[in-house]
Amino acid sequence: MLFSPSITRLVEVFRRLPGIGPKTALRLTFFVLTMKNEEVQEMARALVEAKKRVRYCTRCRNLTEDELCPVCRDERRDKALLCVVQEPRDMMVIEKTGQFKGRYFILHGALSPVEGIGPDELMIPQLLQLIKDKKIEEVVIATNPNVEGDATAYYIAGAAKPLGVRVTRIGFGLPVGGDLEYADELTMTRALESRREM
Amino acid sequence: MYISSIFLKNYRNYKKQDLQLSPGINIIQGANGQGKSNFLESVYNLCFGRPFRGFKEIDLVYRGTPYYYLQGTIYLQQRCYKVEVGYEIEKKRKIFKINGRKDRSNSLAGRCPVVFFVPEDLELIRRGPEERRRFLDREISQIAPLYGEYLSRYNRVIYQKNRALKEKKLSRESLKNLIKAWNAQIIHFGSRILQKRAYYISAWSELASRNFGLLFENEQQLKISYKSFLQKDLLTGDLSEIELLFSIEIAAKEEEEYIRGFSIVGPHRDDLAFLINGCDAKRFASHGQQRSAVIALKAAQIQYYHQQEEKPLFILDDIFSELDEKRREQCFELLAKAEQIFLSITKKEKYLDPIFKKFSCFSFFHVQNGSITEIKENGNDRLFY
Repeated sequence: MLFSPSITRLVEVFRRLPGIGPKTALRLTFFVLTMKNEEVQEMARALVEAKKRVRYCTRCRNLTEDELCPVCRDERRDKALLCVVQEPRDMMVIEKTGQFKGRYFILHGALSPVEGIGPDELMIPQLLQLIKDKKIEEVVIATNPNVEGDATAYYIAGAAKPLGVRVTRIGFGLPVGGDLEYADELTMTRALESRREM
Repeated sequence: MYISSIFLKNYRNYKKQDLQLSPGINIIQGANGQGKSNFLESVYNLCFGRPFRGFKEIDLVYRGTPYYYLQGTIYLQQRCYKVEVGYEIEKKRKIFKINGRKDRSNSLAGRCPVVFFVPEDLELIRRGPEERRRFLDREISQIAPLYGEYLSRYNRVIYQKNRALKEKKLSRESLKNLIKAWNAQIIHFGSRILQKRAYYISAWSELASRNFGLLFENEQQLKISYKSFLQKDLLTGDLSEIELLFSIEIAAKEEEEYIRGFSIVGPHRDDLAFLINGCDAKRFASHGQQRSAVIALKAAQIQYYHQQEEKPLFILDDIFSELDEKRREQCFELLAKAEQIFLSITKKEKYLDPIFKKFSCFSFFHVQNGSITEIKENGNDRLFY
């Protein structure tokens, strides 16, 4: 073996992180070994504590340290409007625009039978309950525009509509500020399909 | 369309190869295993930015080297494109550039009229339906820009739905809703696939029938048709109509799909039918007739491109040694319709003579062990003998 067992173990641990290959894992390991003791301890504590404290918001499944996340606690939010997203980071992207005044529901994934992800894993029954209990009027589905995201959108729409709620899907089309000539054919086709009256 | 030069680096069994090509016919002669097919496949790879028929990028790299790289000059629609294609193993990175600028790898594809003909194609009728679907999908995605995108999404949805159909832990009600969610996309992408397939098959079929008739002095008739689960003239119906019929069909087979546990409705189960004098060619035609029908179809593809105001590039990998005299002549006829031809042969044969008479400009190359040399002689007649 080239390195001591502790080093090998640390490399293995880093490799479990997304986007980290063997080379980066080794680089991070060597960097950690040059860090001060306190720094390393702080890092370890941060990991453990974040894991211990952070949990899902009981209403929207956003990440939070309290019972309800800041968005769900915010009383100024439009209580009748609900946006369904796949990941917490998708919610952050929408929040940055400042254009959406409603609340969210985070699925933490999309339907994928191949990976064993069904409606229950995405807490869709909980979502439907929320729509009923909180008298939601409109559900905006903002799952990814790919095969799994679209199937998830169809599924939610199919299950939510009988509850008497309005279901919408975010629009798809061209990136703003870009040129038409750089759009790929599929995006262009979708943009044409969802064209609107002027 | 034609290619004026090509450069291969670390590609299959070629370490480094630089070639000036003839805008007419290019003959690549060499014994088996020397690299004839590899060279022809590199031409395909250059035009489409992806490996030929199911090869993996990594397998194209010369063993022990870190990458492959192809460069060529393609003349298309009166414009000249410098195209670069490459793959780096370690970074798993694909490179595709047009005129020095990075490009999505399919932007020339869909515009390159290329027809590839290898001996295994001759057995298309004898093979199973999935081979014929693969043929259809491959050839159509070459012409129709969005077809490949629709197809890969369709296949992904089928894969997910088949898995969902095997799901045991869901209630019947939720399973039903789940399947509906996948069906929505099966209908969406599937209808577009159906429409494109029907369109191209009909265009090819008309030309192929004429070709076949000429060969057999109109005593025998060939009809190529799309055998689809949808009993409907797919050509005349618009998309929303096809989608509607598709959804009715899929709803009718819902129970059967639960029982059998996989998707049974959709273009992934369709077939291409060859009828000779009204009879299924797979069951009733002779081997020679079957092969003639395939050549007639290949010819139709070339003619179809020809009609689109751009003469195609035609690649034949060692076809003639596989054919008898009648079908050889049938093939020779096709060559005139192409702008540029790549033809590989193992040996110089007397029967190839008519080919050379047809073309005013041609180049002759000899391949040995991954190295190509151009053989230059004065005058075409003396080139061979």
